[in-house]
Amino acid sequence: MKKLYPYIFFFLLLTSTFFSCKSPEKEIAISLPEYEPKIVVEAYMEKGKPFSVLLSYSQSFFDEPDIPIVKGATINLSDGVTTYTLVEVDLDSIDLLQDNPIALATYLAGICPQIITNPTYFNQLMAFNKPFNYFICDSVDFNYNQFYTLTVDDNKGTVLTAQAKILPPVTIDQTSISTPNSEGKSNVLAQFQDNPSENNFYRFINNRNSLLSEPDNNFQFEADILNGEQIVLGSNFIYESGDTAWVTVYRLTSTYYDFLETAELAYQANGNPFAQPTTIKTNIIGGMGIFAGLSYDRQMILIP
Amino acid sequence: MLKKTAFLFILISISIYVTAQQINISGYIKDDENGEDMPGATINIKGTATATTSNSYGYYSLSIPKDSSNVTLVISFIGYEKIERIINASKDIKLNIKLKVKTTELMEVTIEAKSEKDKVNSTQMSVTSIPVAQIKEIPALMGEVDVLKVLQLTPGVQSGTEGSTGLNVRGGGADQNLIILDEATVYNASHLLGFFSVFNADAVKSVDLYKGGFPAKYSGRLSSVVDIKMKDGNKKKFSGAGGLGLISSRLTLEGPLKKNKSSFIISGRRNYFDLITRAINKAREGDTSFNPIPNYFFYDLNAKVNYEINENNRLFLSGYFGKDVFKFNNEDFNFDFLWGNITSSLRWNHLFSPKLFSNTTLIVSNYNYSISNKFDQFEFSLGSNIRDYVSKLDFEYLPNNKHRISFGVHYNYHQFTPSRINGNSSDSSINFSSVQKLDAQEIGIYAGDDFDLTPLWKINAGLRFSGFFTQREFYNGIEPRFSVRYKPSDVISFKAGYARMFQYIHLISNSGVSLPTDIWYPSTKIVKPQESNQIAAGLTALLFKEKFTLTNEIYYKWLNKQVDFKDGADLFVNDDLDGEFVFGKGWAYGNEIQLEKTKGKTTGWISYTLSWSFRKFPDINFGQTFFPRYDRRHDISVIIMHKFTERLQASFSWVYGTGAATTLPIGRFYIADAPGATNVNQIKVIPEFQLRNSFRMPAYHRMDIGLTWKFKTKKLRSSELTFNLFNSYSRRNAFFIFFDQVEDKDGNPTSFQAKLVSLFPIIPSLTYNFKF
Repeated sequence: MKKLYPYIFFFLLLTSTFFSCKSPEKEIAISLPEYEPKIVVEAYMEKGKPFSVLLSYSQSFFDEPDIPIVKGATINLSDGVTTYTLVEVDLDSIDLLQDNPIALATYLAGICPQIITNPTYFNQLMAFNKPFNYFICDSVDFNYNQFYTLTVDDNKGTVLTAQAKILPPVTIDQTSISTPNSEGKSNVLAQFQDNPSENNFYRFINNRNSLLSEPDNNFQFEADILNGEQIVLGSNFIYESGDTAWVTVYRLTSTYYDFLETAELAYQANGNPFAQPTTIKTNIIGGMGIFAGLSYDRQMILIP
Repeated sequence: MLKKTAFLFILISISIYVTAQQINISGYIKDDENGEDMPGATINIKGTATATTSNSYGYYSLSIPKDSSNVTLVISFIGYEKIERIINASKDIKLNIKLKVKTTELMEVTIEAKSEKDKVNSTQMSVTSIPVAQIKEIPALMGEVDVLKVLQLTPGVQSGTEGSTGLNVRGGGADQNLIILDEATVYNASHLLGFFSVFNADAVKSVDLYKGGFPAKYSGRLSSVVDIKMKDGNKKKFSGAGGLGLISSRLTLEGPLKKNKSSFIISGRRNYFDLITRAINKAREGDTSFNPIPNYFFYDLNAKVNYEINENNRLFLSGYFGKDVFKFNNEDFNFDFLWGNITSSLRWNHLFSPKLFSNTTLIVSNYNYSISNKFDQFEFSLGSNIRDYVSKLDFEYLPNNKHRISFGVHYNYHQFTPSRINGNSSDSSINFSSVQKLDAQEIGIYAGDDFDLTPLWKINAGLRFSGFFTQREFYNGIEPRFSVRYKPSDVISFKAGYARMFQYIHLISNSGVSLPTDIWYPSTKIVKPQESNQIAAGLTALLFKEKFTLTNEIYYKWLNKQVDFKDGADLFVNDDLDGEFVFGKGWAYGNEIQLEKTKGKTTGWISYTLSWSFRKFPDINFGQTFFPRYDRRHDISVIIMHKFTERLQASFSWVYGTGAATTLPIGRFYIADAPGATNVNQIKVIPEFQLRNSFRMPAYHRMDIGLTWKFKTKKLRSSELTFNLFNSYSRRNAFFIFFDQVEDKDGNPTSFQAKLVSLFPIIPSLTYNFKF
């Protein structure tokens, strides 16, 4: 709904700037209070996939726009029985070697020799080009609904802990493609059944042609009003003949949903007068960010 | 407090009892030209200090000693010819009086709803009454005369955000104002995100804003009452008025249905933003880089009829219907968003005796919004509404010239539908609906007396019992109201007052602007009623041969059980809103000073408010005290109107206010997000907000200029052209501030920069008004 107000706001701006050729924006000086950086964790567990962490610091808003990464930290992931210790990599080196897989694999093999014997693991680790500076050299056999504990010690006196689990994924029952509109573009729909015995949270993302592309839709919601209903989610009319539509429905824990929702609100609030500025809910005790399990069903649809 | 109030009532009873044998003169005061009732006219016994004023229906009642001869009544109303009537009577008489507009002072302008003398005399403090004629003279945004925005120019009243009609009175929230139109509550008094109010000035007769010292008949909101009355309609002849403006046009028709017995008024306003945007869309048709602008417009319709059955019985039926329409349609989907108010009031004035006046009112008031979305084979709709069924019985008892007693009983049945949601598909694979409904009953019983203790001392004491029944809970409270006036001379009086108010319903809004999706929600087991206590003291003085009126008031207000929302609260279509509230307290204090000139070629006022408003919630800002958005340390208004000639008139307004408190991020961090959620090269910058409202926007100031040229009257037809220059020095006032990422030519971020977004630059507008 909040997404609608910017349209009305835009409409107002348009009518008011109709009278003025100047931009309605102007630069101003704001002095911010002294800021104490905090450690930010971003870590996702996924069944059958490598586990990596991006560990960075938050910054004062007007600091240089780079990612201040946390170096020399000790990170452990535990399922209560086994504890895995993550190894550190240099984010800049990965970034630099991004286009040269052999050099990158060689660099990572210097840290984790197992990489050489497990190319699938390496490929999965690099598949989404997401930045990380800590990872586990061997694959972890994640289980659904089991709690995992992440501990981060920056070895400078700060220790962070977080707990998370991976929910069993939802199943997309049906997908469909609409008839093309006058511009020859179609939309796709995904239909799934909400479990009425649980309060569920979902995230819907659809991409065009590649999962590395900017998503068309990306939103999360609580299925309280739709409890136990067949839920249908659709893309916009963006797909042309020959395209591949990627449709992903994530199932979220309430803590992951809260993080996504408040982070989205905070993101919106910087520039949208209708959004609520909000503090971000996190499950990282002593720090910021998110530790969550990823569980989803993804369908690839070819547009005829 | 209760003991004191009881004492006062005993005092009243004694003074009524000791009243000597008297006869009564009563009747209605009306405008001679159109037969409209005239509230607030003064009826004075010549040569004595005995006087009364007509009530809100123009009715008055005055007692004189029996068998007194040649008593002269002087009836006056500012801007009208004073008239005298000699009375020789030995029994009660009915005397209806018609007043004529002054013609002797053609070049003089007199603008005051209540006479200056009445302001000095009255116990009522913290009230602002602005005549509609004056509201129409003050320059306005896009030429749209706005009743509520003019109230923002008076001391103690602030607007929430740039250009908004929201009222923040004496440090109170925009949801703490009771806005009533012909006694019916208007729940969302704005169009287009609060930039225009729903009141069409052509249909409005009077506007009174109570900031404190609330009469006992009002209740339900903590900070103010805005009492708007519609015109009754011309009882003498058929007439019309209208205007063609930059963004809307108006037409009002009124006339007798039965001469001197019954009349009607119907008034409409249609905004035509949609015509402008449609033309732009058509001109850009075929341009693939252009996104068509959605259609938007609003309209209002006011209608009223009244009928004088006989001397003792009169009926009024009035209604308001307004709607905002926002449509965003193309071949792939239809999106319709409609919102608006409907109010209707049926009133019956009855005189049980010349001394006992009653008004019985039946009201239905409704606000709703609905959103419907069609997408492919799917239809989805949602909405919300609040509906009130109200009955009110109000009495005014005027036993003698020293007392004006009012009492009554109010009952309000509220129906809330916080959310209503439906979804279906043409193949029936999807079909669901969900409705959340709540209802509540609100009652009020009150009594009060405005009485002269001695010629110097006058007291207004009232007591109201209010109650709210919901979810098997019965919340209730006693609301004492008390004010005292000390008048050492005819030109100066000192006043002090105390009022307690309860508010049983709460606005679900988390934004600084008025949104159509802001809904009202009752007190529940979790959400307790809000409560305020206010004390105020001040003086009213007439200066420089009564050409100027100086008022100064100091106030302190305690706000208990205040409601706000959790960080990240989900307020939209949430069936568990109780879980989203947080509770705390507030307090506000300040001083308001105003110097007003109401006579002569140049009229207007200068006002300055120095004020503080605070909130403290255990769950907000770590329990620290913080300022609400509308806290303003300094607030200045300068309004000047000047009549150069009979034809040419100019108006000027300048406002200054301390910048609004606002929330800005202080830090930021990066999030790469899950696979597929962002572009491969993108990493999201998430702002980190810490404390609410810990920053200040730059100071707000703006100057508006208006010029009106009246054309020669031809065959009883008159017209005028009004030119307005809104924000004449084009001050870039802040609507909001954000931090933008500065990028180099390759799109790489290089730094961050704070930017201010303003909404309204200099805006000229031209309006043509006519009357026939």
